[in-house]
Amino acid sequence: MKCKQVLCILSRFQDGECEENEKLEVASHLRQCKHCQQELNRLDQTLETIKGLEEAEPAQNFTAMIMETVKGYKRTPAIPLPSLLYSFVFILFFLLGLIPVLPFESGKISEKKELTMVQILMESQNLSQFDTQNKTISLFSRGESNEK
Amino acid sequence: MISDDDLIQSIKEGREQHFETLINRYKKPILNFIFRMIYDYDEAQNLSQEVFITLFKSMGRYRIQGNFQAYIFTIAKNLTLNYIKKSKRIVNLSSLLNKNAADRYLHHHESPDNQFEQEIKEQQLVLALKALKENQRIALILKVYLGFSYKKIAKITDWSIPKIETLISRAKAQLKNKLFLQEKSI
Repeated sequence: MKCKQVLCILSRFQDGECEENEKLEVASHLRQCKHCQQELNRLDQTLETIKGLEEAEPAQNFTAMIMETVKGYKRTPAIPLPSLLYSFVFILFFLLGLIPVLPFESGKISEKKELTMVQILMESQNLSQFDTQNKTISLFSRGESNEK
Repeated sequence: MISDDDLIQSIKEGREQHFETLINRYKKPILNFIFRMIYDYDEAQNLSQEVFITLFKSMGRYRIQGNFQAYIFTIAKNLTLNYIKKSKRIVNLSSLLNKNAADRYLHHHESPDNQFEQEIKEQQLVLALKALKENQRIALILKVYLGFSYKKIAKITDWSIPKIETLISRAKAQLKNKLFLQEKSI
């Protein structure tokens, strides 16, 4: 390995993230090259200085404060609430959409439509002053007897 | 020692006192991760507490697969980045940090020579750390202070391993240059 290649992966080598064969090659180069060795030493010193920087300590009441806060909370369920709500609304609309095509509903509608048609026909023949339902029945029965 | 996942399972089943164990296990690494990202002790305390509260609320969504560390540090990373974004909108963070450094410099001017030199060196390094890009800082802190592997960092950050390698390598180079140039000047 040449210096340029070694310097490229020196940080990875220092982090212990090199493949086994790569590690051996870098180590062998470092034994021979003072320049790369010095570079690694500098990187080591930099990390040591960073690690030596002051650490933050949690406040004494850190845990107690969180426990106090979460007492009143309820955890999010495995399926989030909005998703459940959307599913419910979707199913509701789906069922509502089914109502017009249900059999009992279609029967009522067609019956209503039939009555309205007969009324229109009778009105056009000035028969509206008669009892529409009886007339309709008699009209149909006359038609039936004619067919016979 | 009970594993993280066993603790979570137990909390999910209603034994909420185990949440306390989980907090005590992670409060220091989480606080220090955030502290090294923003260098504001009070805000770091607040954000760390927020991390645990968020964790508690979203625990139902965590799937027990042995990657709890990645899960909690992802929450910490996201909350910290949101905080940094918000603070940038309110105040120019770098100018504030430089002011703090100047204050400290004046304060420490009275200390003995050796200690003073050491403190100056550390302050310069802290400034150099602050000067790193956010992504570089996240990767470096997770690697150097928490000792996470590149693979684990990739899980937390959702970055590729080559990207993490580049970020860490550049961050180290920047800090090294700062440290050794500074030594020459002292």
